[in-house]
Amino acid sequence: MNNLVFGKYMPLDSPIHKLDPRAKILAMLVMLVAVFMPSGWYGYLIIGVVMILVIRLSKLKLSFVIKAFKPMIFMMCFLFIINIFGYTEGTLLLSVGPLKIYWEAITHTLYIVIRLLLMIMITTVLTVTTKPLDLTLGIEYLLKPFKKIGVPSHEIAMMISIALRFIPTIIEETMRIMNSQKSRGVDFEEGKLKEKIMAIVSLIVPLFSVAFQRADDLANAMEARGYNPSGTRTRYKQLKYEMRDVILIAGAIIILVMMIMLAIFL
Amino acid sequence: MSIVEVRNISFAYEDNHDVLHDVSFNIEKGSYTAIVGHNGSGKSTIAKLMAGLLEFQKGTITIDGKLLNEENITDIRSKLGIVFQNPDNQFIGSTVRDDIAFGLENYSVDPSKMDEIIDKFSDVVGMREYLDREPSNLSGGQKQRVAIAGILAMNPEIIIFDEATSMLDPKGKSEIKNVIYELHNEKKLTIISITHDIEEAINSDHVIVMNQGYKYMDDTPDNIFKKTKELRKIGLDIPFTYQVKEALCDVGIKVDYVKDLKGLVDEICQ
Repeated sequence: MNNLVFGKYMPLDSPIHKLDPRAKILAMLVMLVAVFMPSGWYGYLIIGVVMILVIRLSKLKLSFVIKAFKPMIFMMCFLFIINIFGYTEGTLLLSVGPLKIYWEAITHTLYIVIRLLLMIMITTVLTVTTKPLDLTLGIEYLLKPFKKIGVPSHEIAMMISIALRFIPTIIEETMRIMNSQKSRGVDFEEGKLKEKIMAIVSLIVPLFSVAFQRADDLANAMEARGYNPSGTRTRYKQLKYEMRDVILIAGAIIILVMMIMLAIFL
Repeated sequence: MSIVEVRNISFAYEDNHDVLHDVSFNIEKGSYTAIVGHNGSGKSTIAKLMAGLLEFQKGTITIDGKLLNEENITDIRSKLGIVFQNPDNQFIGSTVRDDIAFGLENYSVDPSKMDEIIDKFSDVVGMREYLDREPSNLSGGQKQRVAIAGILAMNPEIIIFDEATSMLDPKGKSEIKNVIYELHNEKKLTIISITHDIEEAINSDHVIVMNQGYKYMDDTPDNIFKKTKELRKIGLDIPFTYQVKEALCDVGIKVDYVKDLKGLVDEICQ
């Protein structure tokens, strides 16, 4: 089940892991904007090389990141087909019967695909090198300035961290319910569609009822321990920007500026 | 001195279906009180009322001289901690360390002092080596010990155990019981234990028996377990040692010591 979770945190000891989550989130946002600049092949080459360097620095295996590309293959084919029909002029490359494939269709598809791949690389590096809880803490800090306009930054962070905390518990619960339903003769693997749906219902209903029970208990436990979302709270984990975080953000901004320049002058 | 005074409490989840009827009792500071009764007798509801998690319709609750109301609730919650039944559903942090810190964060404790407090109380419950563990890698007993540490960190006067051992295996149960006795004997905390476990009640200072929302009995354990007829009437178990005592009494043999099995055997063998 764990292999399915794409971009799951990997506890490695690298300079990228040590960076402040806020700096990483900000740098990621800047890099995503940079990817969207129409900076052409050179621009993408620069970002690609930089990202490969970052991946090397974070001690991740390149193959691990490439694995994350796999689900994209289907999308690439789909985009390519759309583009073949979408382009009706330009340099003719191939002509099969009534179907004409233009050079622009290919380049355009490649543009989009490369952008998507770069985006996946950037976000994967963030989530793989940052603990989910640090990520939520980072989001909470970054959203703080927006509190004045009514963004409940603390509540959002608390919800995400509780959801993350309960994922393993709920998975365990699901397995237990599945096993107990199997022991009562429910077949989850075989049968007609209708039977399969009924099997899933026998899983979903108890799962939901237990989840609500848990939520109720959890609310009681939190309240009994003095939790008041609108009150003032201190945070145990304190975040502190360091030189390396400044360097990271500066680096990301430099790349963005380069992309803008390339987009204007090329 | 009474640290908890419950006066004429009535409570209903829905209109005109009372879960508690006119319940009153006192709990002495530093005492070990066991509240026993069947499922649905209203014993867990009492715990939730004392922590201000439910609003009661009639009566008053005074905790450490403060009347429980909207205004005092934060103060009162810092004096009173509850360990709930389900070990998983009260583990809020993603690691042991974060969970103990949760209560401290709520009371705006200076973050630089938190580590010291966390170390101190995780030591009390014997969880110091597990500070960076995630809840999925802990046993039920260990999770309950973390819950206790999280409550101790807030420096409470009273700890309520709401069937805190009922979901644990025998090993976890005895671990938690030892921690509870230690807190009572060494830290002089007021313990309120809501329990099914009648044997646990023998060693308490004070037993309250609940039945169908009414307070049925309220006395020392010895006085309560002597009344075997009344207890049987509502279908409660009689502790084994008291059953032996009763049976011996019927055949004309008198024994006094009934606190534990070993003492009883010693006395019979004399």
